[in-house]
Amino acid sequence: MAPDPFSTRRALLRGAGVAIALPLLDGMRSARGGDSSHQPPRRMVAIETNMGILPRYFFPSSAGRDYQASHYLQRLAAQRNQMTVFSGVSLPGVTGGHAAERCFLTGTPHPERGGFRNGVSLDQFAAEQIGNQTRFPSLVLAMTNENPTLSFTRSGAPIPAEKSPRQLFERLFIQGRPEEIEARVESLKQGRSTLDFVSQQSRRLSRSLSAADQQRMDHYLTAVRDLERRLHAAQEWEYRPKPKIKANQPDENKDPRQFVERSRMMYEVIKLALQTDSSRIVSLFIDTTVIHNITHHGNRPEVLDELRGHEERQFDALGEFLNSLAEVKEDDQSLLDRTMVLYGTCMGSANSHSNVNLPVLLAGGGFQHGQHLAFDTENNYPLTNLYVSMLQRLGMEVDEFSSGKGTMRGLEMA
Amino acid sequence: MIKTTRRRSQWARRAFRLAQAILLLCLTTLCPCANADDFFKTHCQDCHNNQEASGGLDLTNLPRDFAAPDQMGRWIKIHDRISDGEMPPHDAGQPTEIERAAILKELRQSLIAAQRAAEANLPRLRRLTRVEYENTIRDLFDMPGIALAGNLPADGSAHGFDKHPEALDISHVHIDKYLESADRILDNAIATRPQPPRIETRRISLANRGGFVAHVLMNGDGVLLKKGLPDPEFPPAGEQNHLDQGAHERMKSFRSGATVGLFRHEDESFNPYFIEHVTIYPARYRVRTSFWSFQWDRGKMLPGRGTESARLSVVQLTGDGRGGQHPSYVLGYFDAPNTGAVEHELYVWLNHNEIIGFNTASLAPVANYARPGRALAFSGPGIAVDWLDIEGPLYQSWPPHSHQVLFAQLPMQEFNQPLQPNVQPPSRPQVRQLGAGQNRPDPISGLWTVQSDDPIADAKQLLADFLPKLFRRPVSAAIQHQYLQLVRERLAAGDCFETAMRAAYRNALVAPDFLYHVEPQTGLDQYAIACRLSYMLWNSLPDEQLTRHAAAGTLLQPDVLHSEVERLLADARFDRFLDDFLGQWLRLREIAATDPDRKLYPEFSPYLQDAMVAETRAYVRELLNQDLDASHLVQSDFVMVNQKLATHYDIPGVSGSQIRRIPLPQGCPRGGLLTQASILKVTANGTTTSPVPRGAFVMDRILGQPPEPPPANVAAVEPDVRGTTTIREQLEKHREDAACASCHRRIDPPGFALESFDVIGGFRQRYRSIGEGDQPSRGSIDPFIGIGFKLGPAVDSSGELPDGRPFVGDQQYRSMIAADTKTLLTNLIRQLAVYATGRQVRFIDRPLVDEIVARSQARGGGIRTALHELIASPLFTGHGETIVMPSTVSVSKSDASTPQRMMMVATAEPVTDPVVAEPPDHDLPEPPSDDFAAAAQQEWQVRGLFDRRRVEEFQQLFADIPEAKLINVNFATARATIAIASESELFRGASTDQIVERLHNRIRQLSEYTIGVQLPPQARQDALTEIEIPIVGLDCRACSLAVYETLMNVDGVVRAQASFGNGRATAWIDGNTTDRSALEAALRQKGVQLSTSP
Repeated sequence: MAPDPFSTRRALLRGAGVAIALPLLDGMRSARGGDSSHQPPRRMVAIETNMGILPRYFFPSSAGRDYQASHYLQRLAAQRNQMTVFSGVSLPGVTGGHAAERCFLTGTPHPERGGFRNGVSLDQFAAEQIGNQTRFPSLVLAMTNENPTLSFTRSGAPIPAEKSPRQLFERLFIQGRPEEIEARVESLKQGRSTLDFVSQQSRRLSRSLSAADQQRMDHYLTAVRDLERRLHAAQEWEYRPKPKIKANQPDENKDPRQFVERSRMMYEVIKLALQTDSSRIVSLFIDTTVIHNITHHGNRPEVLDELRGHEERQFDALGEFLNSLAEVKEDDQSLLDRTMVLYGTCMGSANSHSNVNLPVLLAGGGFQHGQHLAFDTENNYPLTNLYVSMLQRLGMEVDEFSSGKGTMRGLEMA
Repeated sequence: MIKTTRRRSQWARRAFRLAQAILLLCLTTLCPCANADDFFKTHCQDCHNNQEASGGLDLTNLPRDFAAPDQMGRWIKIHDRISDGEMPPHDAGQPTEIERAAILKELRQSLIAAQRAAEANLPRLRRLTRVEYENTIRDLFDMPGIALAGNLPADGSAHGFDKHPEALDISHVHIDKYLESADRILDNAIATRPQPPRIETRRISLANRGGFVAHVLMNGDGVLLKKGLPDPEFPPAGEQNHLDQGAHERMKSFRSGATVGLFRHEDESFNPYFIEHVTIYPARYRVRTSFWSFQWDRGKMLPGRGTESARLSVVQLTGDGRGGQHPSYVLGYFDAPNTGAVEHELYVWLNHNEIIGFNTASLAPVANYARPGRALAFSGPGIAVDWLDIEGPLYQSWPPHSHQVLFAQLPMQEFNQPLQPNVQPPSRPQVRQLGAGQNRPDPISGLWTVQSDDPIADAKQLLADFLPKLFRRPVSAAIQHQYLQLVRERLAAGDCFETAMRAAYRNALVAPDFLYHVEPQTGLDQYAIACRLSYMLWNSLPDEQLTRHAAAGTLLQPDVLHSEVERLLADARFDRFLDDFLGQWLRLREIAATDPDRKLYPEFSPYLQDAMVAETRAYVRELLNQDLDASHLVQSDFVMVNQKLATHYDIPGVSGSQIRRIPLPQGCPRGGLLTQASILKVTANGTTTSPVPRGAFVMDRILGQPPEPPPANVAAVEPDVRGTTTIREQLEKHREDAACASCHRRIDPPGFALESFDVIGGFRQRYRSIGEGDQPSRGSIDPFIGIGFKLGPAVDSSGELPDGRPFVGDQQYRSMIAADTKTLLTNLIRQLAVYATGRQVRFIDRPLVDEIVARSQARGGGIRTALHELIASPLFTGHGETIVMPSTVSVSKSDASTPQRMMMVATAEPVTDPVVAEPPDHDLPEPPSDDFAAAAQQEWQVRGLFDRRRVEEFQQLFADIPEAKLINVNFATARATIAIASESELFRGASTDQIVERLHNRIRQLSEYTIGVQLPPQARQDALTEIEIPIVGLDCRACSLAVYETLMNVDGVVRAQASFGNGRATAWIDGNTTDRSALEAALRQKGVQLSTSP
């Protein structure tokens, strides 16, 4: 991607991430173990595959807690009590077949229309608020050779995704060169110096204001101080060594046909990133365009079988990821207990390019899981309500997000 | 914010119950009252006591404490209920007029005293809205299209507008975004070169390399035209489509100067854009384009059905320029007449990575793509695009104004590191060519920056000029010194002058003095009033003249104030008022919030939606221009429409995209705001209409009587489009409940009146249904749009006003409310006052509003007059006395019946005399060597000579290859004899292989990769088998190339020819390697149709 020459400076600042907390690292164990005043952090991983998931093998036939696991869900049986499966959900107004893939986390309606303007994505909305607590405010990842991303800024600009597990590993765990660090620190310092200066200005201005206006000026000052703290933390991070881990850097693999193998590699690095508290917000776009042809199966049995084989292996990889998160202990809980994993796709049926009745599940993260929440398949329930629930679970005080105007009905926090 | 809303709705519920309770219990109250306590005891406390607390109101125990805003609001409601006679209820015992007057007076005095006491605690300070922020920067730096608002968090809304302090919170996200914006602003504003980038003038075809348009042309959704007829070199796609877009691009099929005629409207898989200009340098550009329309009849060109409309937009590419279409905005709509081409010219500001987009706006969604017969089976309208010229970047001055605002006339010099070893040079991003753009960066050598011989003195002067402009008021020497100190520190730390100044500017752009409207505690000074004026009427900072008046203290002189208001109204920036104020007052910002159901409203289009907004803006502008009175808000004898809207409104005789004033024909059910499609659309949900939201809209926005929000526990009416029931029948049930009826009696009537209009503002006598019903007639719906809806039950648009007067239809309803101009004008003044001052109109302000209304009405009641009176009022100026404005309000002489181009955004001002860079000294190319004497002549095999006409093109290539000479060429054998100048730079010292490679590459490049040369193959020519394959398809040379290349790519094919003109392809093959069936298979795979008859 060609860098916008007018945003590189800020991108540098943003890319640097921000945080106060020390990296959670002690070998492979949490550093917070003994400190009961600190809850281990809450996290979110949002994953979209872009070519649909065969509904007949995904959706359970019955609803509720004792639902009959479907063909694919049986492959996640180990985490049955750690996940909720949804049916009858979709993103209101998000249509356009394949075009919907860029709205999975934004919920912005009608991406297929000329003049479409996307909105902020779930992960970036969260990262704005809580991203400061880690070295990387969020990780925007894609398993693809093209340029798609799940993550969009407030102005709806796409955030380029890291596509290589190998390079992601490098950013996370391999120390940068001193001059790169210096450049980033200098940029952060200038940001902080500006904030320091404008704080003084607001105090000066405040003296000439009425009591009521002084209060409003205080809001400004608080906002400035808040950002100052974040930049300060970011600067600290630059000098702090990156976590040392025992895992090996993964190899490059660009073969689109091996998308399951590549997903596995990405999952492994994501797990390491969460475990070391390098970031708490992750988006992952899994590009399965290589199987596009066979998703238009037209109900031919031999094609359906081939497609099912591909999707089974994807669910196996997801299952391994969830299991690996469940195995990592953090205080008295597992990493999965503290990590919401959203997994879904933008098309209810790739065969017909339909954007309703999306196959979606949420695992882990501290909800009362173990159920199939079935909504009306004729008149879908807004999936964006799940996003509001997830934001609240991250500790954010929000009542709405995109088209979601409340939390997900029937999904309670644990 | 959330809390306030909740509180308000709780209060609303209580008030609602209070009304009920009094109705039931307050029956026998006769005793005259000496004071408020007695009054309440006698008339109210039967219901509102500590046991009943009807409606949540206990008047025996309601503290007379007006300081808390909650209590204040409650007491104002009590005052208003008694004042308008709603309480005590009609069927209860009534107080005497004397009693009523006494209690009202007492309450009024208490409320006024309380509000006066609270005056000092009212916040004045408010942040710039993100629209104000963007406009302020655009105007200050003269960068009229820089996009900033979209990157800032959205503002809230309080009391109907984002201008209220409560709507303008601030968090660290804001500050972070302001920092980001400051960098973006300075990156764009500061000049980095001694001369402007080269002005490029480029003529672009809509069908261009790699684009969507070329693709659909090949498949029948458009045609290439030359001299008004189909291009013989690129015949229309019919039974066959064109083969291989790449082959056509290399054969320059789309760069032959042909006109593109399109039948297809933009849709999910078709984006017609002029992709060959991708903006590198943010600046003004001059755009000219030529459109016309025609009727296509299965291959024949006929005169068009009328004037069509084409849309131009700005599209932001993302990433590497391949992805994207985001974000984009519509520039405007332009005529494509059927009587011949017209040229349109406009100046636009384009940001980095932006391109111009096109759409056949007035055409119905039609696609011939892959349909049998394609273009040759299609009859219908088309829009022809001759070309689009784009010229720029254009600068009025160099360095540009944006740079001069920051660095005045300081000279630009090349940064000389050796002379100043300890100084950090400024950083410069690399400028690159983008996407499919054919426009090139114009790099400069060396690193250029402003130079100061006396940095501190210069910095001091620059800051003294800049800070007061940015902060919109004088800035004390002490504050200037703090910024100067910053520059000093940065210089000492080794920054160059530009970087050091930049640090100070960046801080100023994040400072509260810039980000907030600062109105002094002691009352509005002249600068604050200048800001109120400019932010109201321009949504931006005061210009020099306003600031001069403020500095001289003359702003409030009646003639000055009057003429300044008139000047602001006449300025192009006043468009922003129409956009921003109407966007919020009439909720036009929500115009795209719902999408009309495609089955029920197939005639809806983005063009219609844009026209709706343009109409309302033009209409309000016309009311202001002509100073028409407030009855025109709901009733008029004219409309402001273009052809699209006129068709929608069933008004004949309007042609073209321009908006103009048209007298209403007899019996046309339009007039005023309420019958405008924009209002009717924002008050519907895209599928159905309901009298409730429409009624609530009229009550709240037009009459200024906002209804109570609905109780939380009432289920909403389920929309139903099956054609079996009407919304009215559904509502009747609701209204049977007495508790609901009391409010709905007031809310529903305007909504009932507007039931004659559907969700897109079309007039209807029957509801559309997707279930049961009769087949509709087409009416004004475009014949190319399929109709899938039915006609359901009849519409009943009758009702009665709360006072019992009945009406039938919206026209009667509208004339009833139009009669009450006082109510309409009072509401308009209140809405304008909130917008202009960022404060709600309080109880204490009511006499001021009444005065404005009275003074305006005494002067004819025109709304331009009223705007002047509002601005002259203490409500606006914050000063004690009303300013007596000169009695004459000038009425615009411009004749609105002259059609105005339908622009959706302000265009940039023309650049009449752009600065042109001096041409650089080019190194002259080495003179070509003509020394062929020593060169060996050699025979070559030529690849790409698929038909005879290619020979000439091959010969012409050598004009650009001075190092080689073509001696002869034989088409039949595809052999050529070529001499090379072996001592020329190209071939000197080259081995045979290198010579072959270099000559081949040069020829490939010059021929757009359609011709190449190699040494003759070893195979004996006479051992080859000749295979002839009959083919059918379009007589198109690019298609022939595609066939030729397909054959040549088969292993064993040594030589080939192909021409759809002759209907055959011929290949000479090595029979040991391949055979006919392999060739045929390859051709079929490519999509070539083989002829069955040889």
